[in-house]
Amino acid sequence: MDLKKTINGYFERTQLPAEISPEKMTPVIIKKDAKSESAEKQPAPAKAEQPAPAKAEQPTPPKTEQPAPAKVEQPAPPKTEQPAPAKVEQPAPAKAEQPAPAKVEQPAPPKAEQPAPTAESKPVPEIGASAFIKIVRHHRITGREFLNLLGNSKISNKAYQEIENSKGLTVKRLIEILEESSLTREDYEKLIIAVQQTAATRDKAIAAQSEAVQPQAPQAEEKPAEKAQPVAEETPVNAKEEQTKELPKTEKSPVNIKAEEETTDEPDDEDEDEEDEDEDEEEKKPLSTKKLFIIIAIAAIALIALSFVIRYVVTGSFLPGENGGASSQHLDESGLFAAMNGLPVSTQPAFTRNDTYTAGTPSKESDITDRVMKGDRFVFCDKDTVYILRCSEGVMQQLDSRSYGEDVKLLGLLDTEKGVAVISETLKEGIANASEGDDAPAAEITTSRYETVVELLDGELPENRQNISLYKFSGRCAGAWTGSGKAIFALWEGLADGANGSDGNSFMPYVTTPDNNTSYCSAENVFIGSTPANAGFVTVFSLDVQSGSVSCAAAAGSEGQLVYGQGTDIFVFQGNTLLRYDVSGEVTLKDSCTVTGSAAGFSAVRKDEDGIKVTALDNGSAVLNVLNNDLSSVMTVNGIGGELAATCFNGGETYIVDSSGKAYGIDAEGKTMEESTVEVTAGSTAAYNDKMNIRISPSGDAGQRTGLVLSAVSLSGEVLSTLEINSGTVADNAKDEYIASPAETDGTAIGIDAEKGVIAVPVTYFDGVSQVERFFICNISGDGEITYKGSIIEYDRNSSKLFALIQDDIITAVMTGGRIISADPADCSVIAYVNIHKSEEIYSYQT
Amino acid sequence: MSEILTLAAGGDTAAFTQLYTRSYKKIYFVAYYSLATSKEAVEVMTASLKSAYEEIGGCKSEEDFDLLWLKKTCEQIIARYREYRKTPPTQEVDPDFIKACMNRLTDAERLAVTIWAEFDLEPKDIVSVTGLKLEVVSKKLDSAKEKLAQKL
Repeated sequence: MDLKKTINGYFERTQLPAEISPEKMTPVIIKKDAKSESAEKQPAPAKAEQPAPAKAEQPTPPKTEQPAPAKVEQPAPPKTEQPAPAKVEQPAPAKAEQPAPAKVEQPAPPKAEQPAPTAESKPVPEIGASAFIKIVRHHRITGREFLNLLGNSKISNKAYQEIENSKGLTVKRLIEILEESSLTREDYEKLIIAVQQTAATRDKAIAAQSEAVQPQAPQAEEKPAEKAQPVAEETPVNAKEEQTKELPKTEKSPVNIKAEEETTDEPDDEDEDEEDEDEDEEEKKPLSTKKLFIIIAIAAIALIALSFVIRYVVTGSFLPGENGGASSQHLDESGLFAAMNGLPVSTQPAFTRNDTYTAGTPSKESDITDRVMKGDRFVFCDKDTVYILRCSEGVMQQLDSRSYGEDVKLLGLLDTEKGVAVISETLKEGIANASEGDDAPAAEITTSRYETVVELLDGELPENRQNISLYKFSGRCAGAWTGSGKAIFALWEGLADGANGSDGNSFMPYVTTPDNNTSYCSAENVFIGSTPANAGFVTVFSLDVQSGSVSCAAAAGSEGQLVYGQGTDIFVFQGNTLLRYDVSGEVTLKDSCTVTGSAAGFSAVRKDEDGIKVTALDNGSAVLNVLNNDLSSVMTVNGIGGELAATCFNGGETYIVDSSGKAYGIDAEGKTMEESTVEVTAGSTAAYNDKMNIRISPSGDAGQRTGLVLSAVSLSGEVLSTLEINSGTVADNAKDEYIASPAETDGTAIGIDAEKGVIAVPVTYFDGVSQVERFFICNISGDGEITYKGSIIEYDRNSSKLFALIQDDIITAVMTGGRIISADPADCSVIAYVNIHKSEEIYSYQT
Repeated sequence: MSEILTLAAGGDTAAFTQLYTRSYKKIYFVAYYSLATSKEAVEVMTASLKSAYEEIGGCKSEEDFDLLWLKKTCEQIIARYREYRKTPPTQEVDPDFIKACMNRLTDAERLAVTIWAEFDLEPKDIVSVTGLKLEVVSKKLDSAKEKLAQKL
């Protein structure tokens, strides 16, 4: 491709403003007195002797008095001034002042004079779900890319989740889902453009890499060219680093679609067969209906009586939860194994937290984070890599990056009082001796157990690989907390593969300390209910970060667990049992109780000054258990129906949210509230100060996203002011339906300096050409008025994470796609930027 | 000095128009695609033309005047870039494809690549009109080409 020619081709199609036409410009320069002025500077040529050439062929330009004919043919270019940043309670006030915005909602057809330079005008086949999928497959879009594209479209959450969660989705079903979704022809056009761009970018990067470097392994990383820079990024910092390019991982998994068409009608046939069988069975019934009812009634009464007897024997009471203690067994290791062996091992994550909905103050379920600023060191993690940087007056310098191998899953960071802890997960495979009896041949069994690995980094120099304390805890991490010199981990583990009842070490929870000693949780410290329903442990480990000592206690044998930490109390809610562990010293089971209902997906536990609240599922409806601090029951409120999705707490109030987003409120007295006192939203909330929070949520109807709304909200839920983020306000040229923010689900992505009244909100969108990553910097007045100030912008970084920090009067905008930009909150000017690089070397635990 | 230049310098509108017509589109493209908006481009173009016209006496040929005007334009553009450091520019609403692509480049990349494309100048010649260092021009020109090649 002749790039110069191509660029010129595009330039030539540019509409020229009327005022630069020769007719208009000449009089601007050659004024009436210009002749004499010029003449003073240099001798005028002898005009009479040397008549101007070609004067007759080139007619004299029209005089200024004449109306400019070019005005009609060459309309003035788009206005340069943009509307003042809107605080927008009423949508898009600037639109009236700007004649152009209709183009955003409805892309204009290609102009005849400017054929086809825009991405929108590229030819596409007959548009629809089927065509879209064909193009996706043709371009070999990976599963992740496909989901990213869909996630940025107007597809409904329901359809998206169905596609995301279906492992063996067939093409036919996928098309059906898309056809049933709310996507329009325009949406498909945009998606197809995005697909083509994604594929083109990838192909070019691969081609560039293969040309530039010697061939690499099949899983080699792509080497895309450096992408665009921030608006004012010419600050001469890190010139060397700017040259270097990041190597993102090549996507491996193709889109998760079965190539073959699914067989049709079979399910219907099966249904018919089942119906036939049911009919046959009815015909064969030997008992009359009346007799059957009598038998069932007798059986039910007997079962109820039996359950009361059992409860009395175990708890000493006929009433549930009356004495605050849950029924349990005291078993040794082999007893624990026997009690759980053969029971199903849950394949689902054992811990459920639903942060989709928020009410009032933001909730913090775990202290695990993806970024820690400690002194002048900044540690953050993205995908499989931990980055460590030094920060000096806003200028970052990368000190280390640690890319974990495929066998390690990086979970996050914990800011302990000693230093940053990196938390990861790996599958440990080992050999266990399973020989039984002297005569039996020694057998070796391969065991596989998940381990949560905690690397406690050097407190002052986290980049120092020589001073890492390595702890390995059995199980998968559900939550971690830090405080009082300790790091607390709640881990879950199914009964290990290859577990042997005679060898407790093959299945009991354990910790391996930096000196490579492994200690196992004592059976005495394991709580198991009288009727275990599942094979697995929930273990609470406490690590004293200074001394390195570890203690633990576990709960075994139940499913539907939920974990919640508050101060030195760690609650484990499993089945219908609430266990409270005290972690102020060694981990001990402080107390326990049974509650009405059992742990379910929407359940939550909360401890505050009013006591302890637990929401559970009982006979298909939600129930709220309110407990005193000694776990004795205060009251229960039940009968909240619907498709339950989440629990939100706000002071003394509790909200049960159903899947449609409707919230059922229960006040502090347990009365169902006619009207919610706070708005329960699907957006995320970030704590701002003790008077207000910041919330960002999508605008528009469900499935018809028209941008974002940034709100300052009082603690009582009153919206103090809003700033709409869309193409009509502050997001120039954005395709509004693609505007999204990581802060919608994680309020901590917003950088906040409440003292100075500054926030930085990360937002992404597609502008028709590029994927834009932009940080909107806003001021917030004391009474909550939001004012847009400026932004930091990058293009086509494709960052998997975006977040901002504000510290020491410096905004740090982190784009994990390769760049960190520091800016001055006073005027949004760039202080410095640094390109971050992922190490090609695979990092191994330092033992 | 060429005849056209002499006449234009003397205030002959036809001669000036002829001189202006030679390169005004190229200059506009350099300004428009280096700066944020068309309005800025017109302002810069007008100011630089006035400035170049004042020094027209130093030109021996039309080509000299073209380069002088380009040099003056670059001075104006770089001055705008300095203002961008203090106040980031407001971009045009709904730019066309090539404008959007150019917006993705850094300031120096835009300037270098537009001059290269429109005036067909080599890096050392771009240095003489922009006043930037040769290594900066070479590097920015290369990176701009690479980025544009991905999009176009």
